[in-house]
Order: sequence, then structure tokens, then C-alpha cells
Amino acid sequence: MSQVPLLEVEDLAVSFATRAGRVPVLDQVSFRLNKGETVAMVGESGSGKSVTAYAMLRLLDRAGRVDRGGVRFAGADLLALTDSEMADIRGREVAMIFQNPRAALNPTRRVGDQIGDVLSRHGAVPGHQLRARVVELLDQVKIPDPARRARAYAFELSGGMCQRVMIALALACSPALLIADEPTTGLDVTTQAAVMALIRGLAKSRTMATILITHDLALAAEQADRVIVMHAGHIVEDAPTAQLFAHPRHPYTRALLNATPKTSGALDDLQAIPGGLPDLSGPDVPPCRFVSRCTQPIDACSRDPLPRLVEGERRVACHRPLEAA
Amino acid sequence: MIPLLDVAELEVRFPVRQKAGLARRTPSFVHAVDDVSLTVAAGETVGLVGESGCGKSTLARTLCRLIDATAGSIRLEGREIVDTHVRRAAKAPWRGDIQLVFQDALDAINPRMTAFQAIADPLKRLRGVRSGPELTATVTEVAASCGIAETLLGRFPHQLSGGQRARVGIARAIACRPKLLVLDEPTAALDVSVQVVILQLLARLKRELGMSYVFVSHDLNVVRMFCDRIIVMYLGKIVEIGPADEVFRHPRHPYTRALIQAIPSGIPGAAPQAVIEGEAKSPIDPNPNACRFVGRCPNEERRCSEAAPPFVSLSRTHQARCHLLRGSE
Repeated sequence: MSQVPLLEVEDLAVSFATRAGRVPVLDQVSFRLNKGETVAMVGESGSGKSVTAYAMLRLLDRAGRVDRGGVRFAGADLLALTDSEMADIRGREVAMIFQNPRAALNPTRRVGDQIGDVLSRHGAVPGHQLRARVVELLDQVKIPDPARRARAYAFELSGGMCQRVMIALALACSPALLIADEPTTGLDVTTQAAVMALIRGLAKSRTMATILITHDLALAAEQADRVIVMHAGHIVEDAPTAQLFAHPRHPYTRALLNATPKTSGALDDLQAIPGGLPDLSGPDVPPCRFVSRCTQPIDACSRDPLPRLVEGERRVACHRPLEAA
Repeated sequence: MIPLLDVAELEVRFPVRQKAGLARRTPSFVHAVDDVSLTVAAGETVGLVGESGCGKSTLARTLCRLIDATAGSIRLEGREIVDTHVRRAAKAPWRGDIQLVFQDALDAINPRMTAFQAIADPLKRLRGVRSGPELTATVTEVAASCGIAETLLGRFPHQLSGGQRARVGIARAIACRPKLLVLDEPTAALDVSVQVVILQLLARLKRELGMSYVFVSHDLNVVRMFCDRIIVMYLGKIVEIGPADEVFRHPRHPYTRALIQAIPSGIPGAAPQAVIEGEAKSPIDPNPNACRFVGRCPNEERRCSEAAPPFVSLSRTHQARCHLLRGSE
């Protein structure tokens, strides 16, 4: 772990302006990502997975504000860059794949031209080679008949094809970091398997680091080296995949695992997670935001600041973590 | 004994609009559901799986008679209901016996109705219950059985959480005490934490009310846990049908096998799943003399593109439609 990390997020806090005033959403979010590593971010909707990614890339909408913290990427402090410096990094060094590819692509322009835009914005290839490079990229993501498909509009392509176009777009400038926000939600399992195999293969051949945002724990288990579990804007556990699945230490991680349908076992074996995400707009948000849903809270949970336990490569934010092994 | 639902050789085709300027040819059709036969016994849960576009939702809606079939028969407790035109079906005496739960309750519930009104609506229309204490009592009772607190009944759909909305969608569907409930991806929009609760609720309601379910889903792990039998569809045709356990343990059709192998195992670092390449062919005027899986099938032979494969009985309860299979009986 002595390696200099590619990405270092330190104590990130983000709040949103709402009618009820400013609501703190992300709080004390810290994690690192090494070159070529794949990390999955999991948690229920509303847990702050996407907000973390958007804050890192400075894509939060007007209501959102970074209150605290730093994002260091390949030596640069992303939060201190000017807008144009940031625009140089987006798409070239860090790229993002969005959940609904058909909505993320421009419906009025040919998909090939959209990939061409990214290439020419970053001066990646000379103008006369643009067309050829676009077709080559579409070919890499295994789109059949790429020259013809480059002239298609998003509505003419299936969901799986649109996602491949998004991947080609994201990887056009060989970024060092890819953020994939629910890249296969809404796709069929067979298409999901193909899209994930494609992302994994390309990441490996380019030693690209990947952040896979997903609510599917089974997918995270298969794809990621490490898993970060988020709940209500906190990172509650961060551990190597095998360790996390074999011995979850945070009660929320265990609860998520117990709620996920598996390839074996009965419906009655699954356990629901009681309650919902806490209301963060109130004045008395407890230090541990899981306390009201937890099966084994102690007094310290709603009183003392969240501890950050470090055990080898695992980090847990809990006053009373589950027994190790 | 007659099964609760008996579907025979059901076919649903949609005409494709001709491009202007082209010389008039024979009209084209999307073959959404083709030669589908199935039965649902009383108290049984049948799962319907397949990729998007395979016709599972069209089939589900045709069973509920929200879509007219082009040919075939649908019998509910022996009574033929396929001939009733959709407009009439809405007022047919059996309407309350088959109900549908939609994927996203936010889209499915009238946004101007409160939860109470949404649940009361089918009771008024189909069971002739007049507004008054009887209606209030029934709605409250149905809501309670679905775990909806009385204080939530005055809320509009947008004021409810995803899980609460799903419950209202279910309560509305079971208000008339249907014999058959068709569920079209009822948990697809929900988080795992909520999904469990809803699935367990559905399992309990089924036990208590003795309903049968047709359960459409693309989450195969859920289907495996929830269903007694499963039907796998590919491009409008049933390719495999059998007991859920057996189909999952020993899938016989190459498509079913590919589908099951593509499910994320949830095992850290598990070997990447086998991947079938390509996409399904167009459902418009498919070649009647070929297997529809041709082009993606890993075990394809010449005869597969020369004749449509027959249904092969692998056991008394398990059939698959493939040239390469040999029957056991």
C-alpha cells in the first residue's frame, strides 16, 4: 500500500440547498484508489454514491456545494482547478459512463460525431484521422458494422448498443480513471454480462482504474477488487472484496448481504432492513446515521463521533463492529 | 381438474406501419407472442423470464385482457375470455378475477387519486361497492393486509416512498379478491432492502388468499426463489418450461443456459460469466422455418435454420423447444 494512489478523496463533505435549508449529505467521505484498481461503490438509492462521483468531477448541480475536503487526482487538487483546467481533465483523464445511455447521448446528433467531439476537444487525433479513429473505437467496443453505426442516432440503437457507444465515448482518450455509474441497470442479464466483460477487458489492457457504482452486490462481488459500502452519505465500510463478503464488519454491510437474493437459498432466508435512510435535514442527525436501523446499537452511537477503525486493508466506521471471522 | 388458467396456442401480432412511398407489399407484423400454450394451477406461481423484447410483458397484458390476441384461447376456470374485446373486457364479470400489478406504481396509479381512492376504485367499478362505511371498511382492511398504515391512505402517490407505493399498487390489485394476479416486474424499481419486504408480502398474501401468480421478471434469482414453475421466452416463443428448481439446476435449452450463466454469482472473484454474443433478431416477420435462436446459439446445426424446432418433453413437467434435445418419453 506504499504506492502513491491515483485518486485520494479526503474528508469530503457536500451539502444541498433545499426549501428546508441546507442539508448536509456527504460527510467525511475519504477513500483511495490505486492505478488499475477496480472499486465498487454500493448502497441503497440515496446513499450518496453518485453524489460522491459528481462532486469529484465537479458536476454537482447548482444546489450542491462542496463544504469541505479535497480530491487529489494524479497529483492535482481537482477542487482547486479553474473551470477550464477541469474541463481539460474531464473526458481525457477521468471519464464517466452514465446510467441511462440513451438519455446521456445527444438525441439530435450522430453517435460517431459525438465521439469525434471528445477526440477533437482534447486534440487526441489530427482532424483527418478523426473519422477512422471513431470507427476504430466503435470496433473496440464490439459494435458490429462500426462504420455504419457511427452514422446512427441514439434512438436507432438498442440499449446495449447505446451503452457500448457510451463506453467508446468514455474511453476515447484512454482515461486513467473511469467512473461507471450503474452502467448495466436496465439492461438484460445477458447484455449486462457482455458490457461488464467489455469494461473489465478494456480496463485491464489499459491499466485503467474503475469506480463501479452499483446497487447490485452480486455484480460488485464479481467485478471489484475492493468494495466501498455507503449509507446516508457516510462510507461505513471499505474492504477487499473477498474479506467484505466473507466477514462483513459493519451491521449495514451484513444487512445488505442478507437482503440480496442469491443463486441459492429460499425467500424466507432473506431479511429486510428495517426503517429507511434518516432525515438529514433535521437538527439532530446522530453521528452514526445507521443507528435507528441497527440491530445492536449502543449509547455511544448516537452520542460520540463516528470512529474510523483501520484493520489491515479494511476500514469500518462503527462503534460496535461485528466480530471478525 | 381444470386448471385456473389454460392458454392454448396464443398469438399476438402487431401490424407494422408501411413506409410511405414503398410499393404496397404484403403487410408486416411484429410477432410479439407466438404459439404460446401454458397452464396455471390454483395456488401456483409461474415465472415468466426472457430478455426485453421477448414478449413477456405483452403476454402478461394479453392474459389480463388489456391487449387483444390475434389467435388462440385463454380460459379462466374453463370460461373462454379471449373473444371479449378489450373495451368490453374492462366491464366483464370476470374482470375482478384477474388483476395486474405494474412495474412502477408511480406511473400506474392515477396521480390525482389518494391511496384510499386508488384502492377503492376497483371495488366500486368491479364489485359495485358504494361509497360509505362498507367501502371504507374494506379499503382499510385491504390496506392493512398490505401493511399500509391508515395515516397514509390520504396521501397522493408522489407523497409516498417507493415501497409504500408498491404496497398501494398491490392493495389495489387484490382489493377485488382476484383468483389470478399478474405481476409485471413488481420490484424492479425498488432497492434490495425494500424488495425483500415486498416479495415476502406477496408470498404471504398468496398463502392467505389462495391466489395464483404469473410473475414477470428479469431478475432470475428472484424468480428462482419465488416461483414454482418457470417459462423462458425468446422472441415471442416459449423455449423452455419446467419446475423452477429443475430449470435452474439443469437448463436444457441453450438460451436458458446462457441466461442462467449470465446471472452474477455474487462470489468474489468468480470467473467471468459465459457470454452469448449479439442481440436477438428482429421480431418482424421472423422466418417460420427456423429456430429463432439461430445466429446466437453456441450449438447451432444446419437443421436449425431449416425447420422450426419442436417441443421436446424432457420429463412429464419439463419441455424445451430445441432440435438438439432428445425426449425422455
